[in-house]
Amino acid sequence: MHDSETGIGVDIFLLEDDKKTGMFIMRGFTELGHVVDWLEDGREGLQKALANHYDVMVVDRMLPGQSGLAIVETLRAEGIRTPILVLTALSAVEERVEGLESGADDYLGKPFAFSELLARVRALFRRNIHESTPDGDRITLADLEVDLRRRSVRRAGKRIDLTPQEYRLLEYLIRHVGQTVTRTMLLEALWNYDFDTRTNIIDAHVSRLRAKIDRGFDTPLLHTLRGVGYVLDASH
Amino acid sequence: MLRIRRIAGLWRTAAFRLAIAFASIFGVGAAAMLLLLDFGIARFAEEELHSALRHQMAIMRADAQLEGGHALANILAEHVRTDTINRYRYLVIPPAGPTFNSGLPETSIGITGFGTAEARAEDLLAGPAGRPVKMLILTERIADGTFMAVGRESYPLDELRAGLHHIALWGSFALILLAVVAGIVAGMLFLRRLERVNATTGRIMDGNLSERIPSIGFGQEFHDLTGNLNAMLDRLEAAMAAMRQISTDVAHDLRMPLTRLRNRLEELVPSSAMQTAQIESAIEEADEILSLFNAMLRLARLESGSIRCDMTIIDLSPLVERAVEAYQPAAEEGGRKLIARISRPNHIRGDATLLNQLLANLIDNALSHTPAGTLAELEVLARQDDVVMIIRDNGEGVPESDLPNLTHRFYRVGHSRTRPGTGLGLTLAAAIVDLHHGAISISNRHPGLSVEIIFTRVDQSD
Repeated sequence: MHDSETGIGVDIFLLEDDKKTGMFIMRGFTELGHVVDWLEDGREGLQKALANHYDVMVVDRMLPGQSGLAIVETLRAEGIRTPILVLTALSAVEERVEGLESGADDYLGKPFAFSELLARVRALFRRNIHESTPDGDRITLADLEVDLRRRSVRRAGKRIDLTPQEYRLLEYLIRHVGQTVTRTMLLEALWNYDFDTRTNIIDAHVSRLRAKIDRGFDTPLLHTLRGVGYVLDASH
Repeated sequence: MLRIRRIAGLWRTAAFRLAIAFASIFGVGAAAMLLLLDFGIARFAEEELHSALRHQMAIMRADAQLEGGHALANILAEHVRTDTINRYRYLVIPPAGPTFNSGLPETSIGITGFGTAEARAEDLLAGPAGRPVKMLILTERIADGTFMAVGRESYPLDELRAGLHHIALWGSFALILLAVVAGIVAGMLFLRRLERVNATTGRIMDGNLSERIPSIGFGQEFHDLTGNLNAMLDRLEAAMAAMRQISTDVAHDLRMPLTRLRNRLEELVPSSAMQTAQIESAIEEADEILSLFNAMLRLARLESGSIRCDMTIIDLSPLVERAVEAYQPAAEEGGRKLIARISRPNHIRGDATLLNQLLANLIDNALSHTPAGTLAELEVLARQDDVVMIIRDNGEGVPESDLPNLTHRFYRVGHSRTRPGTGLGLTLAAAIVDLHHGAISISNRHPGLSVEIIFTRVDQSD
C-alpha cells in the first residue's frame, strides 16, 4: 500500500516517549503505507538516528535521556540533513521559534490533528526530494506555468496577473504540488502567523487566486479540502 | 465644583455625621456649662450685694437704737457729705424731726425687707443719666418707730449679668462652631484616607487583584481593619488564581481528547453527501472549541509572563500593512472595507509575533462585531514621544456601560453573545499591550468603536 500523495512509502523516524501519541502516529502512518521506526528514549534514539537513513524524522521536544532540541542540534552538527519535525506539548509561539533555531525544519504543537502532522511530514519529504532534484526556475502543473525568477504566471499560454500576495500563495502551493497544505501551514509560511485567526483569512485569498487561475479553464487545479486544507493538483 | 461635590459627599459619610453629632452634643454641653457658670456668678454677686446691704443696715440699726432716729439722720448726713465715694443711698424717717434721704426713691417706703425700686437718674451720683436706675433696697422699722432704708443701684450687677449672658451666648456659639469645624476637618481627614481605600478597592475590582489597601491610620482598630481586609484580598486573589488555573488546566487537559475526537471524525468514511457535510460541521465545531482552549492557554501564558518575548526595535508600520493585506480579501468577502493609513516608519520596542497576534485580534474584533458595509480603518501615527495605533470602524459601537469591561475575559456585549467568538480577543490584545508597556483605550466614536493603543516611540537615529 502506498500513500496516494507521496506515491511511495516514506521511512519515518519517530522519537516520542508518550505511548498514546506514539501509537497514534505509528498507526496513522503505517495505515498509509509508510514505515515508522519508533523509539522512546532520547539517547538511544540519537544513536539510531545517526546510524540509519530516514526520509523524515519526527522528534518530541521533551524526552527522557536527552532533550529533543539537543538531539536535533547534534544531528545537524553531524551533517545529517534529514528533514526534522519537532513535536511539543508547549505549543506556544516562542517554543516554535526556538525549535526552528535549533535546526528543525518544522514544528507542531500538541495536541495536533493527524491530518496536520501528515500534511507537514509529506511537505518535508517532498521538499527533500525537490531539493535533491533541482528543477530550475520554472514549475509547471498541467497547463499552469509559474516562473519563479520573474514571478510571472501563465495558464494555457495566457498571462495571469496576480497581486504579490496571490503570487506568494500560488508559489507556496505549487512548491507543494499535489500535497495537502493546511491553513496553519499557510498562515505560518505566508504571514508568519503562528496562531489561529478568528476570521478565515486564508479561504478568501484562496478563492481570489482560484478565480484568477481556474475560472474559464476546464480543469480546476486549486481544490479546498474542507476541515483539512487546500491542494493544487491536476488530477483531483 | 469638585469642592462642592466633595463637601456634599462629605455630608453623606458616616464619619462626618458622627462628627457633627458629637460636635452638637459637645456644643450643647458647653453651652449648659456656661449658663450654669453664669447663673452661679450672678447669684454670688447678688449675695454679696445683699450681705453688704445687711451690714449697712446693722450699723444704722445700732446707731438708731443707741442714739435715736434723729441722731442717725444727722450721722448719715455727715457721712454722706464727707465720704464722696459712698455707693450707698440712705433714707431715715424718724418719728419726729426731718426726714433724711440721700437719693432713694419715695416708693422705698412701701418696701418691707429687700425690695427693688427705680430711682430717677438725676437723684444719683453714679449711673447713666436720663434713664431710671434699678436699686436694691433693704428697709427696717425699729422699735422707736424710725423707718430706715439703705439701697444701692443694682446696675453693676445687671451689667455683670448682661455681660455674662453675652459671654455665655457667644461662647456657646463659638464652641459649637469650633466643634463643627473640627468635625468637618476630622471627617475630611478621614474621608481622604477612605477615598484612598476606595480608589484602591476600585482598582482591585478592575482586575488589579494584587493591589492592597493602604493603612487608614487613626489607631489600632483601623490598622486591624486594613490588615483583615488585606488578608481577605490575599485569599480572594489565591482563590481567583486557583479558579483561573483550573480553567486553564481544564482547557489544557481537554485539548487532547478533543483532538482525538477530531481525528476520529476525520477518519470516518461518509456514505452520503449529507454525512460528509455533517462530519465537516462537527469538525468545525471541534476546531471552534480547540481555538477557544488555545486562546485561554495563550492568555494564561501571556498574563503569567511565562511567555518568551523577543523585544527588539521594530517598525510597526509594515506589520500593520501586512496584517491589513492579509485580512483585506476576507473583509471584502464579508462586505466590509479594511484600509490602512500609515505614516512610516514608526519604531517601537516589541515582539513581532505578539504584535502580529495583537493586530489579528484587533482586526478580527472589528470584522466580526460590525454589520456588513462597515469601514474599518487602521491608522499608525507618531504623537510626541509615542507611536499610536488606532483601529476604528463605523459600525454600531458598544453600549457605554460595556466599554470598561471589553477587555475582561469572556466578556461579551449583549448583542454579540450569539455570534461565534471566544470573548477573549480583546483580553489577549490587552495582555499583549501590557507586555509592551503600552496603554489600550476603547471608546465610542458615534458611530462605531475606536481602539487606541499607545506605545513608546523608539528614535531610530540613536
